Amino acid sequence: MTESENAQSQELRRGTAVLACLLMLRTPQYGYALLEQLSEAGIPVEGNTLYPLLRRLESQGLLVSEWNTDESRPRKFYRTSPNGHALAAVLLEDWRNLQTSIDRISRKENS
Amino acid sequence: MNTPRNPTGRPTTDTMIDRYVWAVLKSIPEAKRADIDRELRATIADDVDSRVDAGATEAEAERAALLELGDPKRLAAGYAGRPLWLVGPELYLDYVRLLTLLLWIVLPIVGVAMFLINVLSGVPLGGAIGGAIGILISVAVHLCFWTTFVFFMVERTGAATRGVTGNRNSWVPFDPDALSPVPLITGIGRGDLIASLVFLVFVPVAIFWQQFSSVVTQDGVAVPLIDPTLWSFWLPYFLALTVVAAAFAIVLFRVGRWTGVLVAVNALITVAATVPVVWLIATGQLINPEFLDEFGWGRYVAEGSPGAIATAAAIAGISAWSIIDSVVKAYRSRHGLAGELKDGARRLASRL
Repeated sequence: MTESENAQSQELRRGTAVLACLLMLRTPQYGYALLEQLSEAGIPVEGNTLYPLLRRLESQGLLVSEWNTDESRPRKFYRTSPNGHALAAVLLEDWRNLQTSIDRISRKENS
Repeated sequence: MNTPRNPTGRPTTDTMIDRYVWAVLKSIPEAKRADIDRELRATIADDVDSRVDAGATEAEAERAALLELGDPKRLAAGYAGRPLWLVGPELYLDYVRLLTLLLWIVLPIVGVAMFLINVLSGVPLGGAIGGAIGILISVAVHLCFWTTFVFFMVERTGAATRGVTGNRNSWVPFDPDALSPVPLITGIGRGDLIASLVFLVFVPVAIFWQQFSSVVTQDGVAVPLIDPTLWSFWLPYFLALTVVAAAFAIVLFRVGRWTGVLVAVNALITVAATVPVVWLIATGQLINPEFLDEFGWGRYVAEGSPGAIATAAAIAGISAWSIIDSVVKAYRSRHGLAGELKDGARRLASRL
């Protein structure tokens, strides 16, 4: 991928991190593990983007968090709140509509 | 005053990770520090562990984990919700608009005021101009700095509530009717420019010519028409003004039409030239008394004489007309001839 293609691709992906987090955190998870999960799921997010993002979503009431001190290393687990679920539903709907539209446009181009 | 010796979150050890965590925490509000400290350390530790598991040494793993997280100031800005710019895209247009407006209003006023104060308090012309320019530069720097500072504060305080990607309309809503007209060829022609420049070259030439080769001579020495004592200030002042006026004529030609700013500058130059001339004529100071004696004309141009008053009034009238003319042309270039005709028709209709 060239540098300008890379920049365009990042522009396109911007915003998908929020949706991916809200969907992923329907199961509680802590920051570092979430980063790995997202990466495995094909949504790579930089740590210095993801960790502040989780706190922002929490302060906006879209995530709730809880410290788990059962293990030797205390970890902050985030979970999608009811508001977060509602937002995820809206964004997912948007995402599907966009995909349908883009698919339709791209088929027209090919035919 | 009462800051604790060891502020919240400052580590008590000094490893590379401690330094990194402290570099992030120190610019974050104290209330948030403890929580971020704990989470960030756990995150770094997880990353280090996974790198060690993959075969790296402890030191390599720590270094790589910190490099992955990147500049601590950037991370801190993310945590604190601080934008990484002085004035962002939402405020930028308002910022440029206000700054331009302030510079256009304040600098001419300060420049003219400083110049006049210097001249009236007896500073020589060169010093008066130099002093005014010095003050102008410092005022311009202050204006730019404080305007930027205020917008920076608005950006910082507003960012927390707007969110970094929030969108907002400009303070000055866009109005398609307010778009400035495209400079068309029918504006200020080459002829106007040449006429102005010819006149502006003629003035200094005439001033020097009457000094050195007047029509009147006394014992072979030219007797100048204009009082030579005026060389102490007023004649250099007029010479300098012709240079300014010539520069203005060129700018006007390049812009191609009269704008509000150009009308204002033209009025300023015209007033600066006319007021002294009118005053010198009306008080009988312009013409060299020796020149007048040669013809016995002294009483015709003495202070308060009908000749002096009439000449002064005529010059004031011509200057006033040139200012009015520029306003009319500016109005026409903005609204077009059609708009003017429509207004005329409406006025006529209201009278009938």
